[in-house]
Amino acid sequence: MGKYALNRLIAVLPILFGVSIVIFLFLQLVPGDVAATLLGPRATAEKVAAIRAELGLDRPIHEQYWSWLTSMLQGDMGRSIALQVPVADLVLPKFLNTLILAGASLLIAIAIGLPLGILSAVRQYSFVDRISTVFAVIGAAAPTFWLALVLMYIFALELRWFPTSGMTSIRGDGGPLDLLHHLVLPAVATAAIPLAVITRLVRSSMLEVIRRDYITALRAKGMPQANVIYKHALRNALPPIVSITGLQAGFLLGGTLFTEVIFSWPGIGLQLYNAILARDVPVVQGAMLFIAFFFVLLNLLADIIVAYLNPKLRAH
Amino acid sequence: MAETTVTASQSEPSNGLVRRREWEAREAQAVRQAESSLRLFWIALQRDKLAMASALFLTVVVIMTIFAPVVAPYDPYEADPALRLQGFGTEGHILGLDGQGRDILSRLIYGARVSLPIALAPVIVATAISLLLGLIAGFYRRGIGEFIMRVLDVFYAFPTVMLAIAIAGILGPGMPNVMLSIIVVLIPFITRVVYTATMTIAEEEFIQAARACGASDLRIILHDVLPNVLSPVIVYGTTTMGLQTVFAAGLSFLGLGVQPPIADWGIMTAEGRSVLGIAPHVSAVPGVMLLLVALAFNLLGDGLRDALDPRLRQ
Amino acid sequence: MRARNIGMYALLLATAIGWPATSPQAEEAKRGGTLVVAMDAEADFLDNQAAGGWITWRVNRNMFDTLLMEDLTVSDVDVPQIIPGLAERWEVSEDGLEYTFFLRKGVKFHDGTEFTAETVEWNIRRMWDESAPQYSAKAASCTGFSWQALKEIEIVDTYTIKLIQERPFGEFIGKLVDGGCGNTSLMSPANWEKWGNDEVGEHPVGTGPFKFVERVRGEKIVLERFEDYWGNKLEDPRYKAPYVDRIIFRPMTDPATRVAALQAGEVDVVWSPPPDSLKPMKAAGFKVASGPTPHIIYMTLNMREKCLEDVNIRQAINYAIDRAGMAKTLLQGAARPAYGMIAPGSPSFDPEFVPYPYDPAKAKQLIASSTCPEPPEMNLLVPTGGSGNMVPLPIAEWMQRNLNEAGFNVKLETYEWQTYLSFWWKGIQEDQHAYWMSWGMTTPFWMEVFAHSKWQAPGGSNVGWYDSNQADALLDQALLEMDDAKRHELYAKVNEIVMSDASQVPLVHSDTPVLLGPNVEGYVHAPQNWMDFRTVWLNN
Repeated sequence: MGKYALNRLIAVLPILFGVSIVIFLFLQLVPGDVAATLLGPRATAEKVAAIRAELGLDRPIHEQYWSWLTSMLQGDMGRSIALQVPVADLVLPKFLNTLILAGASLLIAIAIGLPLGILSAVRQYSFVDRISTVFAVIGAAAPTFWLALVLMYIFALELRWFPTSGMTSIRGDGGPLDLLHHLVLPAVATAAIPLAVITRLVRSSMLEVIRRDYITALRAKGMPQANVIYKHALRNALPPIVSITGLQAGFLLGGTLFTEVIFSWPGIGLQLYNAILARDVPVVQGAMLFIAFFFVLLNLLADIIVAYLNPKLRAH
Repeated sequence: MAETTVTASQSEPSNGLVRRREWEAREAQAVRQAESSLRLFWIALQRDKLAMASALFLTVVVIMTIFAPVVAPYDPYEADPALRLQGFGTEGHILGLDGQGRDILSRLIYGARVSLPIALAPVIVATAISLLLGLIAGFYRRGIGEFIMRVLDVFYAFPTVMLAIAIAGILGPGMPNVMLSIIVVLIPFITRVVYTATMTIAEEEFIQAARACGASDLRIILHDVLPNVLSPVIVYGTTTMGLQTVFAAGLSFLGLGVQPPIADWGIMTAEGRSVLGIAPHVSAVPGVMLLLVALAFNLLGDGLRDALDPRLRQ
Repeated sequence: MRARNIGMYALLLATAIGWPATSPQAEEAKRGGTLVVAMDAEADFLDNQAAGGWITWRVNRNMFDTLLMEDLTVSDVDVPQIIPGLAERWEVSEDGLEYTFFLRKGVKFHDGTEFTAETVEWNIRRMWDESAPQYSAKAASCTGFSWQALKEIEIVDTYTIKLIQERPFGEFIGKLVDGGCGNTSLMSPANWEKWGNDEVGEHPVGTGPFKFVERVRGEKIVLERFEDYWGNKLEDPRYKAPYVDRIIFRPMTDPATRVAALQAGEVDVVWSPPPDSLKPMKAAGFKVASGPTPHIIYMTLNMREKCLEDVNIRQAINYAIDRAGMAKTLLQGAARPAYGMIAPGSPSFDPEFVPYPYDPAKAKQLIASSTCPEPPEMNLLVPTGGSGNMVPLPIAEWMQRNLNEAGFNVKLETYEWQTYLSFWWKGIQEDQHAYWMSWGMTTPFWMEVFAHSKWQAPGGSNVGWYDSNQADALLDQALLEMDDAKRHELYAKVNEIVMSDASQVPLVHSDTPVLLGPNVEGYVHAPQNWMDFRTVWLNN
């Protein structure tokens, strides 16, 4: 098991290296001049040239990449051009906020999707199955940004049950209850797609396992239904579920972007979006690199868990 | 692994004739299968009422899009400022008017002319590129294939939403850049579908036979592999069209897509955002339309997958 | 030396107009509470001299004072009075070359350090003297207009400082009190020593009525009443201590969200509410403060473009736009039509000046008689939001529709505000036709900023390459003119020339509406793009 994990970890390193090259090269395409932005409205050509030299923008590209990468590895993510603060100060706290939102969404998706999927599979073609299928189909198709607006209109603007934006209320104590109050609408909006995907997947993998001979045999032997379902069927249906859940968790890192923008959730998605619009290259680089690293590690973790649940895979 | 099998088959020239017959038979079968893919579309629709309804709905939308000037009651840019933000059922404006006083129904119909192509064209282009990459990578798994898949692995390391927004945002707003960003994020996914299918086929006996008989790689790829790869790709492409329509609209919603005043379902939703509390219909209408189109594509894709799945076909 | 005491003059004038010695609510006004302000965009860094934009200045001006300041505690004036700030009074030599500032004694920065003439010199050198260790290129770039004629700084004694100009600069005082990018307010040198130019914007220390508490990017900026504020000891209502204990500025970029937050009682003040929300909110018991503001949204035309070189085309564009409809219908009366380049709230403003009323027929006729009877596709660059832009996309779409109705073929290209500005500063590019801007100043020196050929971009704000000998000559004359009335007249003449050349397309003047909760009392809308929070109190 440890060896498998180590092998996977080593296989990930070149990918991360590739990721850093892609991010760096990609941002060379950014139009607009960093130096001009830094100097403001009445910048002369000489001043621009001086700033460019100071930032190392006049050096060959591979040198720029190397110095960028080495400082990144030392934890120095550079300074934001638009906001004039260290990128790390922006990226890390915002990323934690995104983790809260993404975590809550994933929790909703699993807490509802898993039991609903099992129930649907066990009682195939029942009323519950049909209703959950309809919701799953619609949920998978609903545009997140539109769903967020609908939720905001109904529950924040009309019913006033929940706040429209932010993570804590200015007048509130900023405690866990306050946070929870702000979390509900964005988390529900973000959870819709993963919930639909997980429900459908749990249902189909459970159906596949339930139809297998040994489950039928266990049932025939008179083992209690609940026991069959939870001890045997679920255990065997779990690997693909974990694998997809891992993918969905990664998807959530990006998927929160729309809800963060609409509900002004101070997360990394909103930060990245603002930085992209403002062509704030160091922030975009830092945030993308950070998210990509986390995404890769998350997928790695899911792979390892799947392998642990399904020893046959490990042999490959 | 594939290459070792190839050497093994080459060392058995005595079996050549048998193998050649086997190959020819399989190739004919493969071609038939490709032809029948189209027929399967039809069979799938006939069997699956939801998929049928979806196909019908999408056809209606496409027809309305093509004949927008005839179907739409107004010009999408024409405005009656006096009636701005009026809701459903306003006289002459069944779906109401937006913030400029433009007819929402007309903008919805004209909007399809942007919202559909901006998502569907990239799916088609990405599929074409992915077929090329996936076939090569699946057929030549060492060297070039390895290289292609490793490069794509790098793109896999980004959450898709983030990557597409970064590309569209950095390149600047506009339809071509949105399409480009969707193409880039789709290629790794579709290529992997093609790659997996190609790999499975390439390991089969009849392909080894074809090689033994001296068929060129190009011929094998085009005549033996491609027809077998097409079905899963078509299913994947159809299913993802709904997702991409929503996503392209999302980019416009964020201001990274087409530019106002062009009617686009994403822009229309965004335009209603600042009057959400006063005139919710402005955002609601294009959102519902997006939902319906995405739903139709998903159901159609599901129907096709079921039809093409041998286990479910019986 | 016969000195003209402008400070005294301003004081007399103010008394003549008569600001109420105590505002009507003063008796019942309550102290205490936290005022929460929903900002329409995140503030820049809080370096008062180098930060850009009105939004940041609206935050900074609570913490920083200038030598002279504007009285924004009264609303019934055409132009805000310039009143003593950190300088108790000031004198100008007859030739207009020497400004002597007599500084207030006993003024303390928030960090406890003393304010003296040396502090003033140190601060000016930060914005002006490239050889000074504290020199900030960005601060210099922002405040360049203010220090354009400065030759020498002379400390007379601990509380007297003399600024010597190399030539007269009539609007020097007007530029000195101006806000936005380029405010000349003073920061604590001791605090700067701790942080340096890079970090000082995260740790602002001034002499103002409020001091900095904390900032969480994207969430809030918290200010607290400064108990040792120099104005606290004065009886003068223009300098009195603020009522509220704290102000929290909260960036909320989505307009609907800002309004909803006010409805839910999460915030007390909403900047830049969507115009469509004003009537329903008023009906629901909320307050709206708005009025004339030295603000203008305008398009600058590319004078080097083939078609736009023809004045007929530029005039046709000006005739084609229904500004009144835009202000009344689209903006729900939250703005007024702009027919010239000088805004209300400026001494050179003339409300009767309407060179191009809405006349689409005239526009069509001008196009037909021009060298460009079939105008090609034109690109207009427009921001998607940002300080003072109101609702840029709807305004731009309205304008586009008007232009297309008159026979033009106009395309919009939109960018986020900061990115937009980086394009704007470079000047209109060859394949572009017009750039949007939202700006304006109380001082009519503003005319020079966008119209003088010496300020052509890059490095200046004349982004459309406008080059008129006539306008330049008048601007140069106005720059040196020390007589206020004559100078204001000269700038008004420049406005006429600029508009007859139709090098710009003014659209609207925002009334800068602000939504207030029912419990917010004493809010004053002065004719300015920013506001004074010291009069505001909360009636809970």
